[in-house]
Amino acid sequence: MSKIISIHSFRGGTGKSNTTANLATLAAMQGLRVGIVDTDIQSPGIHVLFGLETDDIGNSLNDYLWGKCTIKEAAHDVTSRVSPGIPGKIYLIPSSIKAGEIARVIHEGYDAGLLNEGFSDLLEELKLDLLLIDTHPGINEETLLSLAISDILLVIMRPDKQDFQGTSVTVDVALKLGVPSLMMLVNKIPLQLDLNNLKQEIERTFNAEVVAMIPHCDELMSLASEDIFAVRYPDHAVTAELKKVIQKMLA
Amino acid sequence: MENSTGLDQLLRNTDLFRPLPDDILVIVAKALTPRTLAAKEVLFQQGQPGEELILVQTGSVAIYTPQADDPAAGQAIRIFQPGQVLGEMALIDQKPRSLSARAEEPSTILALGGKVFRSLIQEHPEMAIAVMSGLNERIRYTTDFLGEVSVWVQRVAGGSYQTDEIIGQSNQLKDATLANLAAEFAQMASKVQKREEELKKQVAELRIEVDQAKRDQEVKQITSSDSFQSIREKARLMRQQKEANDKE
Ligand SMILES: Nc1ncnc2c1ncn2[C@@H]1O[C@H](COP(=O)(O)OP(=O)(O)O)[C@@H](O)[C@H]1O
Ligand SMILES: [Mg+2]
Repeated sequence: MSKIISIHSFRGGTGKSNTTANLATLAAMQGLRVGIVDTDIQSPGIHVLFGLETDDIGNSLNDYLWGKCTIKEAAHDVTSRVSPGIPGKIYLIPSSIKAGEIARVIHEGYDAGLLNEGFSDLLEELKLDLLLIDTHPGINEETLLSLAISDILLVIMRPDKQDFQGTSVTVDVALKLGVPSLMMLVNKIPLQLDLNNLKQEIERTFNAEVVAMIPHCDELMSLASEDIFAVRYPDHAVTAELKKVIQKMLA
Repeated sequence: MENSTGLDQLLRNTDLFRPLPDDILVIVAKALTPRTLAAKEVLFQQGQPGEELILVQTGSVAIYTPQADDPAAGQAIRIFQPGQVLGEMALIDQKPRSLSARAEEPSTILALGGKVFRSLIQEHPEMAIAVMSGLNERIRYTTDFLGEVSVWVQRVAGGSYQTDEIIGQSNQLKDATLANLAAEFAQMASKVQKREEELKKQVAELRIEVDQAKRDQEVKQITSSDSFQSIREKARLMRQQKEANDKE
């Protein structure tokens, strides 16, 4: 059975794109066929992790939403860019990184229904096992529809006061949308924090299951999104934690 | 003069003087000036001209880096036991003392003037070689010393403060200087560890505060809109559709 998984956070900069790229990679390493859609149209980022530059991007998600191509034509096979010899597949549907095209989407908006049709097409035509959606932060209508059609919603939060109130609303809204499974990932945890205590505190406050606790990681920061962490550091504790998340999602 | 047989024995056990023939040793013994030092008494200060070589007779003498505020205090670099010689470097290169020296406990020392030392070296090449091998040994010692320190530093940098282990090791260390350094290091590591644990305790009490009334109100505002209802309905249909597709 294929699964749609949205990766969301109330605020930007929480680590959505890095987490999405790593989860996709770990799943593909297990032989799965994975698609990623960058729906953070206003501030696209995940293409960077796969080393895609302006010239490498042919059709983008924007072109699909404007009726210029099918969504399959906007899918870029980035598997070999991640690492040669990965048994599965990774397809990225990037958002346009051209300033004019970003401005046009912000100005005109887009048809969220069309986007969701695109998701179904991708699952079917690329025979995907997993479709990961890297979302735009916050709660707007387009995002809500992506969340609503997901089988799993992964909410990322930092242990930061700025994140608490907004995340609590996001989680409640998602549950009211009828999302079948909601998981929380806590990222960028300062090293001094007691993890058990923090986990309990978060589960108590948000009423949701915390599936991973990822500390602030200097190696990850120094990578500066230039590479996939799980490939560069296959034996790192952070990679192990992300593997657990994939196992949970596939269960 | 029972003292002189003791002195003879001491010189015979000193690497530097061992190669000298008996008649010369007698001359050396006569040229040595005995001195007693109280615990913590400073023998010479860093920067002073070095005009004598010191042989430790009883007790122990440390060379150390003097603290700016207290020239008698400072981390011992090396501790010299009876039969060991210090201070010969300044006699050879005629430079000021590179470190200070103090008695670590009540001690007696024997001082040999620079002139006598230099003429001994000139007349007895065996002694020059003994001086050189002493310097060699010092270089090796420094390398080992730095190696040991770097192991401890790496451990602490890696967050493992096995102070018990360092202290246990310091009890076994034959070299008094390393034992001393290990003890000081263990003390430092345990201070750092304590500070880190206190910091941990402070931050571990991170409480997550959410304004519940505001949360409920915002959720209600979003979920009660018409568009929310339609999204919910659309999503339900799409999920049904997908389930049907998955079954095919
Ligand atoms: N656990 C972590 N430790 C340190 N830096 C992190 C961690 N997770 C993400 N980052 C850094 O945070 C920044 C934002 O990450 P990104 O994945 O682009 O977030 P988002 O997509 O939510 O805006 C990047 O520079 C990334 O390297
Ligand atoms: Mg992003």
